[in-house]
Amino acid sequence: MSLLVADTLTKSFGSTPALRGASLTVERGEIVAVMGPSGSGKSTLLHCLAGIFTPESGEVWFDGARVDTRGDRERTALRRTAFGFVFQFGQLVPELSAVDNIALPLLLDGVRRRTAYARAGEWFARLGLDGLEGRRMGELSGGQAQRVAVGRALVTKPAVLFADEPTGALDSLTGENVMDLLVETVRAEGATVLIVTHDARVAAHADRRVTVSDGKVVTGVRV
Amino acid sequence: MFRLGLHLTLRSGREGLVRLLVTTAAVGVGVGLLLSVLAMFNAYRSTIDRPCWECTEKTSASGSVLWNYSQDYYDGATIERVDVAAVAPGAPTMPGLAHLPSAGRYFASPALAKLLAGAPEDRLGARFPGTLAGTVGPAALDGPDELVIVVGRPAAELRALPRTIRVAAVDTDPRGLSTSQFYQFGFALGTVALLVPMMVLIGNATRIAAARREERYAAMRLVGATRRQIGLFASMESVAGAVAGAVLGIGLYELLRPAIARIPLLGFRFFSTAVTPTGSGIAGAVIVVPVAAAVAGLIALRRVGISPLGVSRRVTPPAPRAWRIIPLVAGLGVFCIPLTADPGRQRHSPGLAVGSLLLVMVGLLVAGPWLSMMSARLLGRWPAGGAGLLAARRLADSPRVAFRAVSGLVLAVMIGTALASIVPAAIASEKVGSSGSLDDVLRVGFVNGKRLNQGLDFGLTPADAKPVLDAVAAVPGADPIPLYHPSGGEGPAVVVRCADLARLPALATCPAGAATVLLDTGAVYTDNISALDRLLPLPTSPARVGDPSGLLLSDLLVPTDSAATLERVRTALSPYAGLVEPSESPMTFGEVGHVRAELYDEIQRVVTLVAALTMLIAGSSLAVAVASGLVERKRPFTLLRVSGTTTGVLYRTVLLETVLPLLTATLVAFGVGLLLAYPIARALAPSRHAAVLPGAGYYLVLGAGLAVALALIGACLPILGRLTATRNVRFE
Repeated sequence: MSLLVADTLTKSFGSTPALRGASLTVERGEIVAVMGPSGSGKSTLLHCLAGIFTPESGEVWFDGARVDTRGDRERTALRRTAFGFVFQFGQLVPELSAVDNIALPLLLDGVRRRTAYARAGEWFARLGLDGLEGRRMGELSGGQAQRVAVGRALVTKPAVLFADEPTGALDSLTGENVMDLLVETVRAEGATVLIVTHDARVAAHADRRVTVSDGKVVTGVRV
Repeated sequence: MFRLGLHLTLRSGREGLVRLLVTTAAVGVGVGLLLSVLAMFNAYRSTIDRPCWECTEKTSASGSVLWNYSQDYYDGATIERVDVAAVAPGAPTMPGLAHLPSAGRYFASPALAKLLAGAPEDRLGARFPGTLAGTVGPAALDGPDELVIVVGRPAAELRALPRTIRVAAVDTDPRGLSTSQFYQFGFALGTVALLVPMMVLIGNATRIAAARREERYAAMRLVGATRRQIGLFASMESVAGAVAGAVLGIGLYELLRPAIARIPLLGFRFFSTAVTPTGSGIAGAVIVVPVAAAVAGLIALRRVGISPLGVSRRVTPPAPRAWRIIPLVAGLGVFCIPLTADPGRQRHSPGLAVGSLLLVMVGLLVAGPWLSMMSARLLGRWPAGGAGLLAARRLADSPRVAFRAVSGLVLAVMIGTALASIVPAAIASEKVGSSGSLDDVLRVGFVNGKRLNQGLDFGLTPADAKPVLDAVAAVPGADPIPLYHPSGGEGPAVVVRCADLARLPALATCPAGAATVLLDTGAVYTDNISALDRLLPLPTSPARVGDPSGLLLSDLLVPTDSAATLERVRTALSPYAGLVEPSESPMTFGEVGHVRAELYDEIQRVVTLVAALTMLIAGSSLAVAVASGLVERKRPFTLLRVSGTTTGVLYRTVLLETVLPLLTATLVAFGVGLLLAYPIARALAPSRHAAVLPGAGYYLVLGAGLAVALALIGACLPILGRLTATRNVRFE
């Protein structure tokens, strides 16, 4: 049974269609890169699969259960426990320190404070962020901040990591380092990854590449 | 979760701190003002609910006290006087006294005791036989300045006085006031006038950097924060500000309290102990305002719940439609039509008036965005360069946001205009006559004391009248003019000698050759001097009486040449207080007009204060909204700077998009205020409804308010220069 399934999804914003019958299947442990030109609908597809958007028609399945028909509370719980997110920017809370940010999903899930911070602290060595626990986001470089975002996304041991242009705001060298770290870590954790990118170097880390065009998944290539 | 919320509240950087401080200040001002209004209302309630010992009228043949109540007047103030004598054991006492005074002694209120100590004996002290034995306690008084005296008299002497009754108990029922509905309406209006702009301020304060905060909360939603958790974080910030503001408000109220206690709302000061919001009032204000602030905070952030991606995917909201004007028109209709049809109706349905007033205020807020959009379209037809184009586009795209910034000030203008139009109309109707030539004329109406307890019968017999006339005539400088009943019966017409009337031509003049004339003096006994002013001089008709001295003495008009003479005349009349018409203090026409004018002047001062405070709150709200709007639009403004737009263009853009809705909505609010005021002013002064416009003072306050608003907008502009510095082009 596939872990994630999108079946003929449609979604519009006002009068602008974003998805026009997009379908995609992601297997457990697979790293899939979603590529395509700007405005093709790849980010919208990711948001629908992650339960952020509800499609107007079509079905979204996760681990054998429908996602799109669930209420906001259930989809929120899913994001908190089963999914992780790494976006280009804007996903970290600047008022909080690096360790606060990584501990945040655990705290929101009701994990005891001491336990949450202990688990968050374990990630700093793995991510090469030792000594930066107390730094706020404005005091970190772009690459360091993205590594904090990776830590935050994986601290709950999610089944799926959704990444939308995770290196889009970084220079190529830093982006490469972040992608190496991300792939290495998710492999170790056994997580499934869906990466939206227009960067072929990022897509090269994936097991499979699919292309979205005009709101549909048009091609799929196994690497 | 609370710890995390508190952490986010207290460590959200400079923007968060500013938001917290402004919310604290807004709530502080709100709580302080609410407690002040509540304290005044409680003082008013406790005053009208005080035991009405003056109302004692129930006679009892077996009663143990002789009771004779009258009113006197001294130097602009009424003296409540009661003469008492115990005629049987177990005599009751009255509120404020441990026991009634024995013969030859009297108890005076503290204010009257002080006057007695300082005033010449022949002007005041000689009116009260006996010696001061103590003071009357607060339970019998309206306030610390009230003049009350309880005089102990020998029973035989008191029994002989007209209007003496025998009672078994002193009345202690609450007095109530015929104007209580008017005052309750006033309190409700004042509360709404202060609270609505304050809530707008709190709403604006919670929106400071709202977009940036929405992004933070959206990031938390992304990693699984529930709507309830976000609501908790958002409301914790508002509640933290509100709790701090509540403490500040209580402190502010304590600072204001001495000043509030000095406001003579009913024409006199309240006891400072009565001016209290009470424990439950404090608890209510401290709960209601913070809860309202928390709700305002949640409403301001309601969009965050929509999507974990924040508002970045929000589509442009549809343009405001013309239906938005309907609630305003409906509110005006409900408020004005019943009043226009029946000018006295608002006194019978304050609930309807307050409800429709609220509808008008809400209607103005609902109509505001549509008005802003229409003004933007007008601006778009004549774009004043780049700034005009940018401002017109911005206003047309976001008329709600543009209007929100000026909404508080618009409400203040509407309320201020309405109040400023009503009060001068009322004052004008009272003040006109008080400057007339009757100002220094004392008027006294008499009743036949012998038949008093069987019902009032106007006029003194020649035998009763002689000592009164002699006593007044004996006062140097006093020259009384007697008015007589033509047939001894009750009626508006009196007979007066033409020789006497010649000394008072403002009242009436005799036809040539007449010795006596008939005058219709029905209008003389009124406390609405403006009504009398319009009737003077009174018409006369020939009287068939040669010498009226054998008729019943109806009234005495006493022209006086000085304040000393006036008080001496009143002192001379005091032994005959029982013969004077009840509930009518012996006052000059000028004093009657002065009492009313003083009350209205005080109301006008309070109204101006409320209007100024409202505008101050609204101006602060505008500054917060403008500054907040600049922070929100840091990114597009910076990009405009980077692409070559000068700061001057950006300044003009911000000015245009703020000033245009401000002026448009202010004009509409001014018109709505006038519409609200018209029927009320007409009800207050039915013959003067041709023009209802605020006085010059209000235009000054309005002009100053708008100038301050413009200055505040101007003060925010330098922020724009710093925010849009090209180094800020990297946003994250």
